[in-house]
Amino acid sequence: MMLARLLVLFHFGDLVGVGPDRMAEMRQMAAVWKATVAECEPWIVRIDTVGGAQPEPGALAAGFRLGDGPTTGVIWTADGYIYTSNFNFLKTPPIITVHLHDDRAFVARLVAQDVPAHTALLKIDAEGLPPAPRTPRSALRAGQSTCALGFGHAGKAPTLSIGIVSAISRIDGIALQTDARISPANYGGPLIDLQGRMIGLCVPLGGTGMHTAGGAGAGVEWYDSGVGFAVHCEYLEARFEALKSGRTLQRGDIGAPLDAREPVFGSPATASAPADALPADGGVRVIGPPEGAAAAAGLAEGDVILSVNDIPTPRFTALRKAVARFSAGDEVTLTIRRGSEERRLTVTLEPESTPATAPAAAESRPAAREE
Amino acid sequence: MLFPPLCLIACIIAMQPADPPESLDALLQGVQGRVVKVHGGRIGRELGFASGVIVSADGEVITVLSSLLESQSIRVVLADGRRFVARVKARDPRLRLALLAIDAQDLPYFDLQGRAAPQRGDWLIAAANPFKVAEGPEPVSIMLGTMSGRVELSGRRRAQDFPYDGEVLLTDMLVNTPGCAGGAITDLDGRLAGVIGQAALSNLTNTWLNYAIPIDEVAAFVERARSGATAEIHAAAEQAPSAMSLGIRLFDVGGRIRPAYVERVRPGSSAEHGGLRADDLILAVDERPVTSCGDVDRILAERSPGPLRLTVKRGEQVVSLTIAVVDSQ
Repeated sequence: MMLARLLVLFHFGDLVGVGPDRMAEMRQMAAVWKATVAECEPWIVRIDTVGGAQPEPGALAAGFRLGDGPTTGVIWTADGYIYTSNFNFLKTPPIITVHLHDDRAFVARLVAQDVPAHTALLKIDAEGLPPAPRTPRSALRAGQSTCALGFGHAGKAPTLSIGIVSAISRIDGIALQTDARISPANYGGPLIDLQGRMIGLCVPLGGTGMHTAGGAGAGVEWYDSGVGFAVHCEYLEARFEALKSGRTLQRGDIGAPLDAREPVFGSPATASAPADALPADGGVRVIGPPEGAAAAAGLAEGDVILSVNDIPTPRFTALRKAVARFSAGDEVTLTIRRGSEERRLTVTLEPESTPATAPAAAESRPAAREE
Repeated sequence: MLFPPLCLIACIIAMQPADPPESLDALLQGVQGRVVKVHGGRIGRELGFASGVIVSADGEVITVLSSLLESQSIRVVLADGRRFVARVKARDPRLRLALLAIDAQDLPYFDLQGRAAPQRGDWLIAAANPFKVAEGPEPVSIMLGTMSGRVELSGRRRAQDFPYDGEVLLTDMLVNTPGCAGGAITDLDGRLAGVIGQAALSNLTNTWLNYAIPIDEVAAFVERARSGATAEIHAAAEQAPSAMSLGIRLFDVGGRIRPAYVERVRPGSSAEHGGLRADDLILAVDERPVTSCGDVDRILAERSPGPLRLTVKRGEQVVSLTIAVVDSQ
């Protein structure tokens, strides 16, 4: 058996993957990426800002200061809407300009920001622009090769980092995770696949902003760490019309205290059941009096939420993920169980009740830096 | 039971081509053999260890210019574990590199004339000693990654501007960890493309850079050192035009970032002939972005002669202008 395997490997001249075939494969991969990146450059833009000031403490991870360099965006529509990261406007610059691949430059207007996704929409006065081609989320596979591009280092052409898709569903399903180096050098820039289509928009996420309303820069402390995030194109598309209308998008909240415990399966090791064991209820229980819009809609303590806009919510994380598809101010339909009856209620999501808090001292970087 | 497979393995190894490296295995062994571990004194916050690159058969080694070189005994440890005392032959304060000499012969070395020029997207190999994990006869650590792009370095180190502001190779490998500086960046043929630079923070992104000083600069430094010329700090530009000499007065209110608004254009000046007007905001000089008044004179001082291209914001428009630069102003 071992002999047969060795004979096969001998035939290919490569015992452990460090032979000539590996080299040829690497060179081929590089050639493909070089050609692909060149095709994408027309829809990647450089953003320059003038003026503004360092943001309030709390917007960024402790100890991080914003740089002075250019940033990146992607052309979303032919008539000049550009998606980027709101990280790039933390200084609140009065002047924003966009520089296209064909050397034309335009003054840009900041239309709106999507706070939980750390994205922003710009508008320039142009026509006939090449919008970014997009890959449907269903086509993504963990392990596929990917490349992040950005103008943050101020060269004539964007710099890149190559990695893989590490996971497809992160940050309540709005982003994918990659080990390509994501940093201020490419926040607002695209993550592309081997076909030259955009699969996501690179933004700072994770870190201190993982589930709480951290500032727009929360997550920057994980730059270049091998854990990076890009917001799915499907999410960007779903939010586009709301942003285009000038609406700042905030995380939405149903407006009632909910049982955040998850069901725990398996028998307890000790005689007394662990405190967080919960029988599977099929939904999320409202454990306190609802407030505001939820109360007005008729939601009551004791109701069990079974779905949000027909997205099943058997447990709290599923409900949070479903609500993450919407923003404060959106109307959603809750299917609830009250006693033995099922009802449907329409609730307007409230802005998140937890105020943004200053992130705790930045997590230690994965690698020490020489000082 | 084990004998037939071992025979097979022996046959395979014997048949591997020795040179040029067609297999990744042979290539990496060659690269590791040409990179050394450098040790010196630890002073304050500076590390006492770094990496080095062998550039001649008789023992010339490039390493980072750090305070470990002030030590009485600088040691260079080869891939096979042999330890040598090193002396500093030359220093380049601009590149933050130094040339060491060790008393050795017939060493494998990187040919500085074999100018590797990888392009954005090409594979790069890094060979260095991060965290001094390689000790004695252990070869240095290998990383594989990508050539991210070539850009001009705008960096700082401990609140001071990094003295080198020329072109650097950027990579997405983590080569800014302690001990990497002085290590080798090669292309997929094993040719030296750059030497990993001393850790620097980018002024543009405020992140730690993963970069290498390009082989051209390294080779020029070694040339100067071999010919006995002292390392030169980048000479100040002579009689370069300034905003004032072109007839541009900027509205400079002081502070760290002052947008480059034009307060006044001198009548009859080059700037006026080129179409610049008061209240224009200078966005770029020769396509190089301007975020502050200081950038304008800095770019003017560094550029080569020829007409000047200005990109300005005038009202809600972005306008391009060409200003003729006349010698005597």
